[in-house]
Amino acid sequence: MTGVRDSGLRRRKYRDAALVLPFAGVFLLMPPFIRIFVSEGNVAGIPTIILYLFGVWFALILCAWLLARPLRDVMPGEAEGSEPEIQEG
Amino acid sequence: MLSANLILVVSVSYVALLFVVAFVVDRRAQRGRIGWLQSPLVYTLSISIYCTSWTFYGAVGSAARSGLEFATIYLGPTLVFVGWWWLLRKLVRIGRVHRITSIADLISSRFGKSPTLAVFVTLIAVIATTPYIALQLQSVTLSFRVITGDTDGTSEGMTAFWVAAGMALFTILFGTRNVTANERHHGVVAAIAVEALVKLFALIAVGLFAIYGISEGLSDVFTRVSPELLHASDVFDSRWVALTFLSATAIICLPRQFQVTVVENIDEKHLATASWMFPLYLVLISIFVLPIAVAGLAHLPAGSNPDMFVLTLPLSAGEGGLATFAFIGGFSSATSMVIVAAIALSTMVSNHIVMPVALKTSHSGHYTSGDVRRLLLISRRVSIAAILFLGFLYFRLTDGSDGLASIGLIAFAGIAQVLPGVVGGVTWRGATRYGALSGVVAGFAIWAYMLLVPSFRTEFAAISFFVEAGPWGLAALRPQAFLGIDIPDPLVHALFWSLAVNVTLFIAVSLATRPTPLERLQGALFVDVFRTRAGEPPGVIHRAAPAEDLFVLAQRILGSEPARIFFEDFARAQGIRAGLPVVDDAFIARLERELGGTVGAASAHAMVSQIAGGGTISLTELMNIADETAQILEYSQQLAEKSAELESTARQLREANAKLQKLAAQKDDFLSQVSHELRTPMTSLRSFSEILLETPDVTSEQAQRFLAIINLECLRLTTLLDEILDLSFLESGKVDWKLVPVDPEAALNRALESISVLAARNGVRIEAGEREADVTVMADFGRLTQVFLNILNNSVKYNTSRAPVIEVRSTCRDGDYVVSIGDNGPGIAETDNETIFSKFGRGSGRQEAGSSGLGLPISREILRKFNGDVLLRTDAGPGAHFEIRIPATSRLAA
Repeated sequence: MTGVRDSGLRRRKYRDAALVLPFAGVFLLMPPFIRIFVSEGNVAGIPTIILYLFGVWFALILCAWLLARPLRDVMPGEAEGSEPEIQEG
Repeated sequence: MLSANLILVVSVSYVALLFVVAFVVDRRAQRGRIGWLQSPLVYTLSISIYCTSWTFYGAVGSAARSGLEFATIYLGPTLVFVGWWWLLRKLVRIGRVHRITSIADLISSRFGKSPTLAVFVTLIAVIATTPYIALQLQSVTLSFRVITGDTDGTSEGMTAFWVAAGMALFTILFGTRNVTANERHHGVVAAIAVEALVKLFALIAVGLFAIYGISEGLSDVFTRVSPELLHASDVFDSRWVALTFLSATAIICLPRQFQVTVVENIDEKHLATASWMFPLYLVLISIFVLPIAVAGLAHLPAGSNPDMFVLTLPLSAGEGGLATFAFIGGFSSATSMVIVAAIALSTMVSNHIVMPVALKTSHSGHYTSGDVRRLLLISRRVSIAAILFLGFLYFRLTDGSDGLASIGLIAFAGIAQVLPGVVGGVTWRGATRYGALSGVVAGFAIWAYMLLVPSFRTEFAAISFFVEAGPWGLAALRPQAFLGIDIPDPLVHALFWSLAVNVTLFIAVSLATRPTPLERLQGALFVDVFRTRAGEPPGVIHRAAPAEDLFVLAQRILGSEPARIFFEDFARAQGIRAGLPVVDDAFIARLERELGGTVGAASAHAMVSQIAGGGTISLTELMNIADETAQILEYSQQLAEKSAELESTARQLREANAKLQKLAAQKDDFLSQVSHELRTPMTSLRSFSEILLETPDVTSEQAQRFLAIINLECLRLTTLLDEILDLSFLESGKVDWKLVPVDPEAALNRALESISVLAARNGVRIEAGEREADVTVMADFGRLTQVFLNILNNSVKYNTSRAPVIEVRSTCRDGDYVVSIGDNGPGIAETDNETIFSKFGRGSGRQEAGSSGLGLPISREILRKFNGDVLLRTDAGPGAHFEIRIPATSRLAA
């Protein structure tokens, strides 16, 4: 399925994901949710909260990285107005 | 401890290296060779000026004092960049489309190119940035003191002064080389990218040293990390949220961040890369903060300044090289921030304060006489020096009072007051200038009252008293417990009050005031920046602007060569080969934007308006323009109607012409058919009469036979001519038909009677089907009989079946009297359906039967006079089935 409709749908999905991502970050990194991970416990010697904080941080970066390429492809480049389709892959 | 001279030599060589980098890149850029500079990596690295020396040294201090809290400063920007599709993308697009030069320019441009707003935002930026610059100076001097072991601090003032002077020199040299080209500074950006890498590697090096050189690996570090150290139980409160929000605001609104993210942006797509690369940079910077803090707390003597752990840790271990590298890293973070902040602020000051004042005071008219470029450059250079001097003064005044971080946060909170105007401005069309102005002024005043003034309390006893007891001893007005609301953290308290009042006023005043036309226009252009093409906005300025004056103005600002190119390009686009372009709205808008890229939208608007003679645009003028447009629209609509009318007439004419041509062709056809039909009997007439004349010994029997043939042919000719006459008579429409009530059954019976002889001769059986009784039609009895006879005649003549049968039925259907006459002959091909009704149009293969071919056309013509018709039914089985219809007037009483 590589129809025009399909690529339009994919494009919109990437866009929606990019719009949701910061809110997911806010939810995960702000109280009250983040307080769940405040505990005495360790995972492999590392305090849970540190693991959680940096884990979410890296996960956000990973998601942004995954979204960056398809989103960049739908942005108009220096040549105004040309919007190439998202490459399948 | 290292010798001061060594550190000085290293620092100066490092600075020299930066000068060389900036110089070389600037030279390459001038020759258009800026290839790798346009990479998203350089863009991302330039954004990392967010990480100042406050980050470099202060984050470790913050981690040592308040645990995880340091992470908020990086989480905010991470969230903003990860969510770049929301706001940053729009800001960058607006910045590029409208040639925005600074955050003040963005706001003033959005709100009707308001100079007042620009001045206020500029002042706020200067006031909020000065402490921040002081902070960088302080960190450089402090780190210098620490690394050289100079504990008495006698040389402190001198160090700070020379550092400030050096930075001013660098900034002036590379930040004010050109005034235009959208305020992009390639040399500076390159130097900053180098510094970004240096500070990142320096911090990572110290971090690795802290983990593996001082502590015994990661596990050792983490065993020392206790929940108490992390402040895990109390760090995630309102302060956590407030700090994350503040840092998120700062990455958008800080003048230097706006400068690198929006103004210096070369390609919007770079933002996509920065959306993950910049957060990655931040996480790499912050991942080593905790290990360094832990190692410092564990291994350095109690009471050491945690803000200097990055330096003191390697120093205490005797690692002079690493300590120097760390010092250079801190130095890099301080200088890059100061340089970009100075450029951003000087642009704002010169565009929004110096230029308007110069415009107001110059009476030489129209600002085409003075050299604006010179004025701009000088004012920028002076501004840079002044801003750095201000920072230096602030540093001397406070003299290293507080922890580094607190000053940084106060600055963040100050610039955060711009946020409602920026976000509201690009998302809400209804936001007005007065709304933005009142919000920003009130928010800033509250910030100054609740945060800035109290920050001086250790220096001035009066302020201390004022903070403790409130102004005039009014406890309700205490700056850190306003109206008795108890928010223990002064920063959260101030942020709450300032932003609440700011946003409320912004919205309320916007709703209460009426935007000017220019504001509405700019608002629409900004909010819908993705929907409008990059084309020109509709202009709202008089068109009487003299092109020469505008050209002189553009020369003053853009420089003579770029101005000439700009004007020539535009003239060519207008189709003018030589000379100046026509001053129309599009030209004015483009020129304003071009000039705005140098002096800011408000100043550009003011200058062009002065020349163009349309200083302000009143609503009535706008209405006039609208009226004019409406008139033009109406006129063009009329034109469109007229042309549509013409078009339809032409179409009708074409149709009539086609019909005429068809008719002429038909007539030709008819004539040739007639001559052909006449020729056949004539030929036999001639030949038989010739035989009679020229053959002497013809027997009388033979003569009799020939004469009979001649007679027959004569009869045929007469019939044919009669029929032609009849048809033309019918078609001419000259007949005055007297339609009378007729019993069609009687006519049908008469016709059947007449045909019976012929039928009997041809061996055709006529089968009478069911018949309608008692019906009347309006017709002519004789003609009706003729029609029936014609069709019956055809059926008899063309029926080549072995046992020919004709079936005649009549009935009443849908108010019509219908007679159907069918035979069991070969039938008529569907393709001949229309042909048989045309003159001489016998069906294919029917030539031999000998008839004029006019019977059916005549019948149809007659029936149409009776408002009826004759049809060939192709769906009624084999053979030809004709159906004759005439409207029935009434049934006779049964």
